[in-house]
Amino acid sequence: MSVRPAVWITGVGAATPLGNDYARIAEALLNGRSAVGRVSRFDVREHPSQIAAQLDTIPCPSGWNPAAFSRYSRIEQLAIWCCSAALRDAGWWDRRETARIGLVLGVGSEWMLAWEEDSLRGGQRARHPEEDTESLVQFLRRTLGIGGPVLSLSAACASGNCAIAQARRWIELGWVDACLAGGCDLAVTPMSLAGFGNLRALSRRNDNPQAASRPFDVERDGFVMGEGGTVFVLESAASARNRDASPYAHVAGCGASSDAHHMVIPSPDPKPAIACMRQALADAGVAPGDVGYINAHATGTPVGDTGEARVIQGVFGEWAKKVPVSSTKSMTGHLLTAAAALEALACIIALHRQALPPTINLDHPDPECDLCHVANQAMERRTRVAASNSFGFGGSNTTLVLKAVA
Amino acid sequence: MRSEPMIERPGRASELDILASAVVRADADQLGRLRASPGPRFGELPSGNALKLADEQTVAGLSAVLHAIAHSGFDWRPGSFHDWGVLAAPQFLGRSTFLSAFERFSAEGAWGVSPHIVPHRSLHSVSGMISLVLQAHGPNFGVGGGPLAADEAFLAVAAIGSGEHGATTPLWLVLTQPAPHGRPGQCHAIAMALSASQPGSPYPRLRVRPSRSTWSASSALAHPCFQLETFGEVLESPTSAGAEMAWRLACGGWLEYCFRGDSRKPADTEERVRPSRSSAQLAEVGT
Repeated sequence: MSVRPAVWITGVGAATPLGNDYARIAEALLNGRSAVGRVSRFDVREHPSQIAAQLDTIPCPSGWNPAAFSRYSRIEQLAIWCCSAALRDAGWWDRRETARIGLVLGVGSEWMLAWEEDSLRGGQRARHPEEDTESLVQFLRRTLGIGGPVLSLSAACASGNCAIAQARRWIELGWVDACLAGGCDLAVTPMSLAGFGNLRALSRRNDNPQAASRPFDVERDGFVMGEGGTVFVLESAASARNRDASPYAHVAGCGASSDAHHMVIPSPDPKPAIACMRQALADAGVAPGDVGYINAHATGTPVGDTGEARVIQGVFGEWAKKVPVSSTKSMTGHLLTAAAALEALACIIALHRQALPPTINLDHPDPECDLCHVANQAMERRTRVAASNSFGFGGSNTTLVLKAVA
Repeated sequence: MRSEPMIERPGRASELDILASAVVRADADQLGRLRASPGPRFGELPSGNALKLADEQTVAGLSAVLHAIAHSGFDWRPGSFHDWGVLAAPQFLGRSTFLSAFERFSAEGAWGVSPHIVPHRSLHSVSGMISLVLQAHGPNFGVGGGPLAADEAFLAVAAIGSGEHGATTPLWLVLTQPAPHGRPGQCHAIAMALSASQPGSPYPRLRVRPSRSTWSASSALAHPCFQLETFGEVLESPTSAGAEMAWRLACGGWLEYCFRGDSRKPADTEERVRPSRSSAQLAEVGT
């Protein structure tokens, strides 16, 4: 059996409600800043939930014609920004047309979002299938000038981890020299906010938006929607060394499983998610005691948070009282198919800054979620291994394990 | 001008055996019936309104899976797919639902938006439902969603089922699309049970590679971009198609189909799964 090549993250591009580059996002996360506010882009007076962490302005990448950029749809702008920033950060931008650069993007409702955006402007695109000729990843392949394989995928809120696992595999198979992987989502739209709201999944703490996203707290009443994107460049460690690239982290382990229980409700049986976490730790070659930080999926729903706590307790046993856990969704809101990628970035920040981002609004931890919480303030902590859980509608469970590169 | 570096530095191909497959074509009336009874019985269907609320492509995809199981020649039972993954590649899922939902939203506002749209009309909805029905606890996710959904799905499958470094997850690949040029409500679906190829296995084989193999390169002009309909016809008529075929995947890479008709299945199995081409609208075949 051949030796598995190490795969590193060497570039980051992001546009989030907390900032549009690594430094600003790190600063905001470690300072416990909430990005949640009242939705301002459209009238929410009749919506059950009227709050979100919005991405208002998507920056135009340098070298791009601002007028031309403004004509792209918002999701196209977001993906261009994230991908181009990641390629520049990794040092691949000027070589992208001669290397085999792939792309795996988590995006869950690309066409619904496109039809809604068009319909709200008075368009009829949804009635004309012949107009839907190019997907987002094909658009990016053409616009960015990359020549490797591309695909979009969705495991709902777990999409980013699936994208990273897929990209890692393409690198192992030798299909690409480097691969963009991450997630983009702009689901804070009138119909999407209404749909999730009517599903009774969202917080209705409309009078105090910044206190609304409160994972693991006894007073949590649902999640808060967020939007944005995070895309990484992955490549083999050998490639990164040859280029003298600076790695952010080693993609050490990936795990995935399905509850096969319900399309929306998490399984009361923790075994599938426990199997997922164990698979990721085994893949990374680490024991539970090696993990220095867990970025929890915890969205702030009553059922989901307690279920995840049972999963962590099941995997870590006594260590569950010692390994620090936080949910950065308390600050960013829930970015849906873009959530896992942003939370992978939170893990990278923890590894780099040797400080763990907190769960804010954790005033009264739910006794059913008895974990070692990083509550309300960042925790200084030497961390070499971080794990990120992301679970999704459709019963998807994923765990990503990142290691610091020595 | 973009270079073609993949040809100069090819990666390893992924090879997958097609253990079973089925093709379903259904019009709106047939899809209505399939909601109540999507195919040969296999385990327990989800309770309540789950299939009633599901998209047409979910119903067609699940039906294809159930037909493939029934005609596979394997003694698959509930629990057989515990460790399997499910990948589904629908195309433009939920278009008709969106149109009616947007009309209702325009008329009634936020309270008029059904809470079932998100769970049942997202890219992962088809794979989620099928994993639920099969009680499959491996990974499940949706791929593509747009005009090249099937192409993208093969690239994803190649990475999951390719058999090295422990990545040997057997999986169901389900490709669905609204029937091209068809009336609203018509659907095509292909389901395939795939596992990493074993040397000497008798099954039809898929090979996904980032660049052309020698033989597919020599016949590249004869093999255009992948088309779901064409591929379905190949699966339905394995004995006549025979040999090897190749398609360019428009999102990168190549798909090759390899089948030796004389060794693929025991004769009795072959007989039981022989395709029926006489059904004009709803056809099923296991290969």
